[in-house]
Amino acid sequence: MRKRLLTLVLLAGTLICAPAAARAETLASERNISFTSDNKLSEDRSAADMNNAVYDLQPGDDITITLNLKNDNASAANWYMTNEVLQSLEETAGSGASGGAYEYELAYTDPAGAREILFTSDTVGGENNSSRVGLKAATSGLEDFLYLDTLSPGQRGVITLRVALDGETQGNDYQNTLASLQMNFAVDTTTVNNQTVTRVVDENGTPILVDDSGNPVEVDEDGGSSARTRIVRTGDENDLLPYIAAAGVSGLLLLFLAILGIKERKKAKNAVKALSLALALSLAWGMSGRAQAAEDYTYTLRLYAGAQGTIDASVVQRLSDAGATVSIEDGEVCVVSGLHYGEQVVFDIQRGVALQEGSKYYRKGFRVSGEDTNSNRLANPSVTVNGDTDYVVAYGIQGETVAYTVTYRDTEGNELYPSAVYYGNVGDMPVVAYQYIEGWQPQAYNLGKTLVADASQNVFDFIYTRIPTVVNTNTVVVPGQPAAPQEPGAQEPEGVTVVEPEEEPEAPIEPVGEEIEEDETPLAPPDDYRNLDEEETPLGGYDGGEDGDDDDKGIMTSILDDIATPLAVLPTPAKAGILAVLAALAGAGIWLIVAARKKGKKEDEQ
Amino acid sequence: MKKLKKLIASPVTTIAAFAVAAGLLLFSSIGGARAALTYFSDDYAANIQLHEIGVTLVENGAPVEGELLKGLLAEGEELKLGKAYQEQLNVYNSGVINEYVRVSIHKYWVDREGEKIPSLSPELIGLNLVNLGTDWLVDQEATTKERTVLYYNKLLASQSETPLFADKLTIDGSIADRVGETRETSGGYTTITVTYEYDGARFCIEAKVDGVQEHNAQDAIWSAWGRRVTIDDGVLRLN
Amino acid sequence: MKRKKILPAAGYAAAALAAGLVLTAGAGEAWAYFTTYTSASGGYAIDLSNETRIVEEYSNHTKRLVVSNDGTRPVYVRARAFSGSQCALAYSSEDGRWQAGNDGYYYFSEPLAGAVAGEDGTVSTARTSELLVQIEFPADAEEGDECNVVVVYESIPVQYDTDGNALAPQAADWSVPLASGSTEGGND
Repeated sequence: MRKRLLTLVLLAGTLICAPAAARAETLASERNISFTSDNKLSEDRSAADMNNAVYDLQPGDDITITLNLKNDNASAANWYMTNEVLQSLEETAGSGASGGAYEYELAYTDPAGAREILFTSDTVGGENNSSRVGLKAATSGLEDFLYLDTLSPGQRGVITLRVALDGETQGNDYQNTLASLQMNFAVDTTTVNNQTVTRVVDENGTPILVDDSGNPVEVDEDGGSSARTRIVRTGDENDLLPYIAAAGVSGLLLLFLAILGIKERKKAKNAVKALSLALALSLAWGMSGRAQAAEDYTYTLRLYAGAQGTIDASVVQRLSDAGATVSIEDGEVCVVSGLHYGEQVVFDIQRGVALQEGSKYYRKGFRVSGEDTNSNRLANPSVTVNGDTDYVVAYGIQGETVAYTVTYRDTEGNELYPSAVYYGNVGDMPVVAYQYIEGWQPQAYNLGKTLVADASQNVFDFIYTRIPTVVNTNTVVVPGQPAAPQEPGAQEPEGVTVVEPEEEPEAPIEPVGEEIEEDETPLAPPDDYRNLDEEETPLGGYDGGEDGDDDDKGIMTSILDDIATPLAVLPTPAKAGILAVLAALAGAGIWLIVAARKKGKKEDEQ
Repeated sequence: MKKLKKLIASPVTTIAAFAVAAGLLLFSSIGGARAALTYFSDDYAANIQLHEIGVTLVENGAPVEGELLKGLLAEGEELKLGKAYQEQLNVYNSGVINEYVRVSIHKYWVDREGEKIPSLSPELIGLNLVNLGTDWLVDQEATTKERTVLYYNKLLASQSETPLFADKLTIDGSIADRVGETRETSGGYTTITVTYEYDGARFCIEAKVDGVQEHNAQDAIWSAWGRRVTIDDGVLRLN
Repeated sequence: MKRKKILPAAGYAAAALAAGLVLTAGAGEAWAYFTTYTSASGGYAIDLSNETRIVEEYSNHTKRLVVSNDGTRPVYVRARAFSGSQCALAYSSEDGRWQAGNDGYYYFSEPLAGAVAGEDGTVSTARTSELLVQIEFPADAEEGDECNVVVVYESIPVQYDTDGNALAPQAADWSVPLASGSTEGGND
């Protein structure tokens, strides 16, 4: 336990340490561990030195930790190790980080130089709903001691652990996060390990992990592979689980408290920033309406493919401005120029952006170039032009994929355009654009919705309404010929504008103009964006009441619901732990109240 | 509540909380007893930390919070056409990590309702850009009458600032040129009412500063901004 | 959005509990690399409206011209009269504030301030001094001969140099403003 304390202090110290101005994008660390003649596992440096390093990384960086294992003992020794992620970046209290991916590789090189991969995956984490968050998914099979090798006196083996942070998926949410990995080694000279290790390679020479029977080890649910069969059963199952859970939760609470403390201190500094962000947001003009026609000035929209794909002209699904031009530069950027203010461009990145071959990414949508911090969703694929704007395609790493369907129907449910099926991750919120259909308008140009595991619920319905057709009827009398006799009453005054429903000639013709407002409601223009989640999921407990109290109740209920759902999925010991903490908090609260009363009484007496 | 906040914000509490938190978290991570193996090593820990990025726009030496040109005119002062007002703009790295930055400047006119008037010329809003070529690179691909994009060609260290990218703002006197007119004569009086196309229009300058991380900046800029750049020894060039 | 409002009220305990539960949160949004941005914008409305009123009086073969500025912005004023070849025109001003430019125009030598509303609601309007345009008939003119004289007035908003000093009226850019004038004759 004493040794573990060192790690604690380090973990505690990580946020306090001043960052080093490291420029390197690949970091490395090397240590030596030997099993000494006096039966001790010793290091070449003190534990404090070894663990002192806090690696300042940024998305896209990677770190390789090398541990040289040496047997300096007179007898042969069986080496074992564990590898555990104590905390993944996503678990930093107060951080909203999620969805980022990692590359994780743990390998052992034996004295003969043969390298065996104990675990490898380039898509650890990512967007999935696994119970093991982020990096923790990598070590699910490595947390109990697993046998490495038997080293004869004087022999060396090498453990390398490489962790890379995926740049494409680890964004701003990962700022101010920290992770802690741990490896432990054990040596046994007394027990004879009877296990045989079979190295099997496939036709490409890539090692395949096999179990004792020689069967290949399947890739586990987290996308990596690990040799679970080699885990050594080292001890009995204990019954400390509830306490452990309680300790875990308490630890998190305290960690949160600590972060809160740091935040409080930083608040003054950050207030300025927050204000500027709020102001910046408020400056996003409500320029959705169409302004007067521009004389000459035209705008340019550019959609960049970004680092993971190439773009072609099919990315422009619709261009309402006939004078605009589309050009593609080196497959990297689509430039739409000559656009007039208020015109519309619809991009379809699923069609017009090709991923690199074998890419682990998928096309998620696109966003305004450089914007990230405040973007809680992607840009609308249907863009109304109000300035020169650049966009960049956003990519994600596939997690729990689910299909979603986009339909284009009229109010009667008749299909106006073939449905399209796309794929996204559960929890994603894709935004889809409408299809232009002559004579019809949708309820919104863009629809957004959060994907759920049940594909049948992931339907984006564009519902179209027919646009009333405006027909100008002018009576022209040809000179020299008598005008056709017209029945009284059927005569229309010159220049009258009428509305004529296209497929219903029997319908009475109604004059347009001021009268139309009395007879029928003119069709409102479509919304620019509509969030289907908000339409379909009213706040829990909301009873439709208009007054503030009822509204607040609805919000409270919804918050409780939000908390209750994850609570329900927690294992029982964890629930017990949480209950224990809550009880402790309640106790502390009561104690404080009693103390305050006593104090009050004392003061009264005085 | 204030006392509680103070207590929470004190470094001692923070450190103590961290230590206890880490202890409890570690305790909670113990999976099982270690009975069978004989000799155990120390813990080999690796701590990975990700820091904060931040950027601030600086106007006439002071950080700007959303609103630009606030101090351009004194209260009640009328804007003088043709006058070069001091408008010194640069960028400050308010984050913990070093970064590369760019600035997008948009100039345009809006009507009383805030709706853009594309027919009025952005060129008459004269923001004088400085240090071009030496410190700030103009992205010609991105440049339009309304927009100018400048890339700072060096790494901007944490808590330091760039040289100015703009120093003066002038609204061109020729906005008073385009006129229409109505006259009314009665007796010996003639009243002439002159109307100007720019009358009542509001000029707008928008400056957006983007920052991106130092590590892997070339890829990060490609991925986040879309733009291909080359970074060689801390010097940024536009491809 | 609404949920944010309630958080402070819920207190630290609830917030802490919520933070603990982050562990079980599902997939969220992820964006590439560490980026940040800030933006600021601002501007001012341009007030160019000006309304000038011209009073012309004619007597003794002389036009007396006074221009007043009813608008709120200061303006420059210049004037010029045109006549046929048979009549000559002579300009003068009693206080010397109308000065001849090189282009035939007479410039009121200082900016004419905008109208100012007083506290009692009265509006005080700045006026130029009188510009006198004397029509000189030829010596052989006979009783009843007419001479058409067109007076053109122009006003433009005051312009400034880069230091913010008002330009001299003659130095201002008068290139585009529409001419406005009146036609009045004189008879002998």
